Formats: sequence, C-alpha cells, structure tokens
Amino acid sequence: MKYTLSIIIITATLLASCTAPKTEKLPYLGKKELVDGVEQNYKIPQFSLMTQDSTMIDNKSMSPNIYVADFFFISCPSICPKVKKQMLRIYDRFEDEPRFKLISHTLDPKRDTIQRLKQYAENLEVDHDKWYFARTDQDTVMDLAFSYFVNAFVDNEAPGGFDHSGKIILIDQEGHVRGFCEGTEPDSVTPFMDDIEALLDEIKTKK
Amino acid sequence: MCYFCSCETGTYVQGKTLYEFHCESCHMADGSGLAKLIPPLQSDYYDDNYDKLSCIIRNGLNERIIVNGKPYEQEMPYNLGLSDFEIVNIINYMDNVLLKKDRYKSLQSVRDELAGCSY
Ligand code: HEC
Repeated sequence: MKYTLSIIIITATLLASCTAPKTEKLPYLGKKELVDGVEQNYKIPQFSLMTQDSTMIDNKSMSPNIYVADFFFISCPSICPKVKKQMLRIYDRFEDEPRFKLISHTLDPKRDTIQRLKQYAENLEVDHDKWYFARTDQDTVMDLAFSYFVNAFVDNEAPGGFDHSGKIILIDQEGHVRGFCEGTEPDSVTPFMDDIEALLDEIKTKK
Repeated sequence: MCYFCSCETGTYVQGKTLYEFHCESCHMADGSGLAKLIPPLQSDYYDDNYDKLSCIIRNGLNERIIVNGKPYEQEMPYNLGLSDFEIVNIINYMDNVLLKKDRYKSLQSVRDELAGCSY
C-alpha cells in the first residue's frame, strides 16, 4: 500500500515536471533523499553491467557523460522495436556528441546472451562505444528498471513473457534523472531531444 | 448506398486498425521497419512475394531473406487468429495507404493463396 502510494507520488512528480517551461534549467526528477541530514536529489543507485563487447560499465565509467536509458528484450514482439526506432532517432541526432551515450538494458538475460546482444547492436548498425547493450542477472535488472521509474514485471501472459513500459530516461553526469519520454510515441520524443540538447549545454557551460 | 463498405475499399478502416494492432509495433506506422532487424514494407521482396503475403501474415516468417539488398533473419510471429477477410483488409490497407500502390487484392485470391501455403 505504502509502496503503491510512493509510486503514485513519483509518477505525479514526473508528470508535473513535464509541463515546466522550456527556458528553465531541466528539473531534478524523483523523490529527494536525506543523506547525513542533507536533502539531496534522487540518484540512480550503484550498478555494474556487462556490455555487448564484454566490457563492464558502471556509474563511475558513465559519469563524465550524460546518457539515455531504456529497457527491452530482443524477442519482444510488442513495444520494443518502436522504442528502438526512437532510440535510433536520438542516436542519429547526437551521434557526434562525445559526452552523450545510450544504454539499452535487457530484461531477459537468460535468452539475451552477450553474443546475441552484440549481433543485435550490429544489426542496428550503431557504434559499440556510444550505445551500450547491457546485461546483468534477472533480479538486478528488475530492480534497476524500478530505479529508473520503469515498470517491469515477469508476466507469462504478456507478449514475450515480460510486461514493461517503453519509457526513455535521461540521466545527467552525476546520475540524477533529468527527463523522460514515452519511446512508443514519436511526438513525445521530439521535445525530449530538446531536453537532451539543453542538458548538453548545461554540462558544457559547467565544464 | 455503400456497396464497398464490407471490403473497406474507401477508407480501409478495419485494415488500418488491424495493422496498428498486429503489425505496427514492428514495421512502424509508416512501414519503414527498423535497421537490419525488421524489413521495410516498401521493398522488392514485398512486390516479388505479393502472392505469398497472405501466407506470411498468417504463418509468420522465419528464414533468412534479402530485402532491398539487406539480409534479415529475425523471426516474424504468426497470426493464426486473423480471418481470411481480415488478412485481405490488412493487405489492401498496406498496399493503398502505406505503399500507395493502387492495386487491390480480392478475398478469393487470399483464400487461394492460403490454401497453397507451403508451411
Ligand atoms: C514481432 C515483430 C513483427 C510483427 C508484429 C510483424 N512482423 Fe512482419 N516481419 C518481421 C520480421 C523480423 C520479418 C523478417 C522475417 C524473416 O527474416 O524471416 C518480417 C517480414 C515481413 C514481410 C516480408 C518482408 C518485407 O518487408 O517485405 C512482410 C510483407 C511483413 N513482415 C508484413 C507484416 C504484417 C502485414 C504484419 C501484421 C499482420 C507483420 N508483418 C507483423 C517482424 C514482424
């Protein structure tokens, strides 16, 4: 019950931030946390994942960069290809930005081996050092999805065995959540790309 | 008044709805597909296999195919639940609205194709 309530609050905060005027600095999304008595913006928790190149990435290796994240699985017959098409659109627009990366997390590590992820990335024809296809164990990726506010469940009734949302999340160089959009809706991705642009400007001026 | 309504020749209402529900997630609203993972509908393969479309839609496809010069080998799922009638509406929607081919497949030719599917 408490859990449901907190999800409602988080969702409400996320939705409210959508309508913020564009000229302002991007908002910090998620619930504030108390660390040693000091209020801090929500951060993505510690992660350590293996990519399609069999190299490890973690919060620290990502941290000079900003990145967008999504959750998918290769055999997903429902929303995933649509979301990937939008991720590809984002990739194409920011391909030449050295401080911009993408992470697609597989929700189905049993079937999506590193080798299959590599093949998948090659079929998308994207740079392996810009767009990571990341894998960890089942429980960890489910928890990680929640920490990105993506609902994901193992559901044998759902197409492909998983039920999940197609959100694309924007994370800044310090691990804060700064924006999101619905990857299934191209119209929501357009303003989201402006948010990415704004965040890139923000980190450039900060250096 | 509305002789052709049952075949959706004018507006392709049923074909559009079915396409959105069964095909769009992979082939995209405009039929463009996704890189080397999902083939575009605007293709040489589509035209060359025009008389096999009914079989592809009903039974799916799981073989290496070359579409517009690129290889594809992901699996397309089957749609056993679609009736002959629904298949004809999907094909005519794709042909006329997405691909602007201005050609029309009849229910009878879909039935003939389905009777002869090789798998
Ligand atoms: C889960 C994703 C998915 C769905 C849903 C899907 N397809 Fe496909 N489709 C594919 C893939 C992948 C291929 C290539 C199959 C292969 O290589 O064997 C393909 C191939 C095709 C082809 C032949 C190649 C081309 O592009 O001309 C046609 C035509 C086609 N699909 C039409 C449809 C129609 C119509 C529907 C809806 C009834 C549909 N597909 C639903 C993934 C999908």
